[in-house]
This record gives sequence, C-alpha cells and structure tokens, in this order.
Amino acid sequence: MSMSEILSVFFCLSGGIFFLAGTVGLIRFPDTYSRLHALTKADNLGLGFIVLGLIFVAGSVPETIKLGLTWFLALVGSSSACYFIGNHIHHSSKARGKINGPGV
Amino acid sequence: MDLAFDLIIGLSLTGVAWRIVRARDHFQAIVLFITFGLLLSLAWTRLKSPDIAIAEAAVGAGLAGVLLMDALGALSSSKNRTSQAKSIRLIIPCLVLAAVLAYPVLFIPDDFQRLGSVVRQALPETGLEYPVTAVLLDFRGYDTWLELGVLLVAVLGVLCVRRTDTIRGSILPAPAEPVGRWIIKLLLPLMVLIGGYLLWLGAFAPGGAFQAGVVLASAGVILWQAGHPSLGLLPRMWWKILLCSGFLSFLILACWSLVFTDGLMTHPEAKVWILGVEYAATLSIALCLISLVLGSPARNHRTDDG
Repeated sequence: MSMSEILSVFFCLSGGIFFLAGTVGLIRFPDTYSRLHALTKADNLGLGFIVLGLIFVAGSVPETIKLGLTWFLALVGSSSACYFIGNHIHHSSKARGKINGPGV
Repeated sequence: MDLAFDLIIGLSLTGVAWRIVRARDHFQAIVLFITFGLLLSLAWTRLKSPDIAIAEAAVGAGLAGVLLMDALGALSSSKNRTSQAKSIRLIIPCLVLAAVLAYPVLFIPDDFQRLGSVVRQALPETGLEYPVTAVLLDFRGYDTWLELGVLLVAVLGVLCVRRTDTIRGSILPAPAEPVGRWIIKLLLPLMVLIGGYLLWLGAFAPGGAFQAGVVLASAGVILWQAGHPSLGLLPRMWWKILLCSGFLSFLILACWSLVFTDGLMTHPEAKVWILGVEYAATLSIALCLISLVLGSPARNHRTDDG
C-alpha cells in the first residue's frame, strides 16, 4: 500500500467521522438552528475530507479539478440552503413572537 | 463488499418507498420522494447506467421535487382539502402494476447482449462514439420525438389550465436579501457551462440533450426563484418557438426524409442532423421544464394573495 493510498484512506475515514457526527447531531439536537449547525459541518468538513482523500488517488488533473469543484458547489449549496432555512425560521418565529426556533 | 453495498441500496429503496406510502403528511412524503430519487440514482450508478443516474438525480429528485413542493403550496392554500383516506381498492391496480413490472425482470431474454452488439456495429454510421446517444437520437429517434411531444403537450396543458400565455406576469419580485443574488452570480455561469459541457459530452460519453436541458432548466428555476428579471426579457414569440423547437426539428427531419430518402427518419448527413436535433431538443427541454415550474398553479394563488 503506497503512501498516497494510506493518506486517502485516512482522510476518507475522517470525513466519514464528520458525517457520522453530523447525523448524530441532526437526530439528537433539540432545535432547528443547532441541527443546521450539525448538518453544515457534516457537509463542509466531511465532504471536504472525503474529496481530499479522493484527490490523493485521483488519476489525472481534470479529475482533481472536478472533485474540487464538487466540494465547492456543495459548499455553496449547503451554506446558502442553511441561510435560507435559518432566515425563514427566524422570520416566522419573530412573527409568532418567540425568541427561539420552533424546534421542529 | 459490492453485494453488501447493493443490498443496502436495495433495502433502503424499499424502506423509503414504504415510508412514502405511510407518510403522515404530504410534505414528509415529498421529502422522502426526493430521497428516493437520490437513492435510485445511486442504484442506476451501480448498474453502470450513468445516463439514467444523471437524469434521475436531476429530474426525479431535483425538478420533480420543485414541482411537488409547488403543488403542495397550491393544495395547502386552497380551502377544500381532500380527505387522505387510503382506498383499499388501490391495492388491485398496484398489484397489477407490480406484476407487469416484475414480468420483464423475471423473464430476461437470454440474448440480451445481442442488441448491444448490433448498436455497436451500426455506431460508425451515425458519426457518434457513444451508443446511448446514438440510440436516443438516431436508431430510436421517433421515441425521443414522441417524448418531446409528450413534454410539449404537458406544458400546453399547464398553460391552458392557467389560462395565460405570458410568462412575464409570473416573475417573482426580487428578494431583499443579498444571498440569493450572490448565489446567482456564482452558480449561473457554472450551470450554463455544465449544461453546455453535458451537451457536448453526449457525442462520446454519458450526457446529452436531456441532462443538459435539465441543468439549464434548473438554472432558469434559480433565476426565477431569485426574482431575476432576465427570464422575462425573452420575447413571447421566441419563447413559443423555442418551446416547440425540439419537436419541430424532429418533424422537419421526418418530412425531409419522407421526400429525399427511402426510410423513415433516415439521414445521410447523420452528424449534422443529430447535432441540430440535439441542440434544439436541449433548448426545448430546458424551456418546457422552466414553463412547467413557472406555470404551476401555486403561482396563481401567490399572485392572488399578494
């Protein structure tokens, strides 16, 4: 097993741990804000580590660029989706006169 | 290891399908349906069918999800809700459908490799290097033609129900927050680039008109969601022409071949025709899907309310 393969397995496993932690957070956290927090960490760091791990075993430069682009697009998508959901909860809870999120 | 992965996908597909049927409310069912689409595209990837996987992820999970959410908005804003009582009589059509679907799975013909080798032999005549695109646009061109016709009829139906023929009126007001505009600036050039890339890729790798059209359509949906006025800039006449362009290009090809060649929809200059039909079909699919989203009845309610 070469050095790049060992690094690849290590980073993919680290990414998997972040995804696991994010999933546990999604299930266990009490309200929507903290669930969003857990989810975006899984998306950003978990996917980031997995992409990093795959880059070590990528065959060519275009493949590496495509992997990086995948992570970048997922970052944009997840962070803006997080913003929209959070914004929506914030406004709807303000309209209902609550301070905290509805916790659904 | 592969078997374990396949088993996990198969079991989760069945589990999610069961949850969709048993879901308490529509919202949950729609979210589960999107999950189902994503899992299904994983399954297609495992079956080495990347074309169907891309189409399933983009249409089945993406755009169908948007349309279903819109329908949910229309349903919840209308006062008379239909009862959710599950009819026991539905079991019989479901069983019939399951039997029909199970039949080709249980009785796979022994020489299913034969068609593939036939396609590969005839491939050089089309000027294409990828068999799926050759089948879609050349060998079974009339199937694709009819599919484009079905899409066009669906759009016409939606526009008729909506009783409006202009797309301008349904442009949403631009949202106040800057994040939506930031996403457009970032994502839209990439989406147009990826759409063109998929279209070009169709000649020699998984990709093609449908995938490219769906990516362009989702770019349009993002534009509309963020209230960007550029969709309304397209004149009505061009909107109509481009809606029909995919169907029309096949029609022109069919008429041309009727006069100048012997067979139905055969063409000596295959590459030129295929490129033309593919580009027209991409634009037409993109505009049809955008029109489906824009013309959904939820918009009526929203504009009536506001």
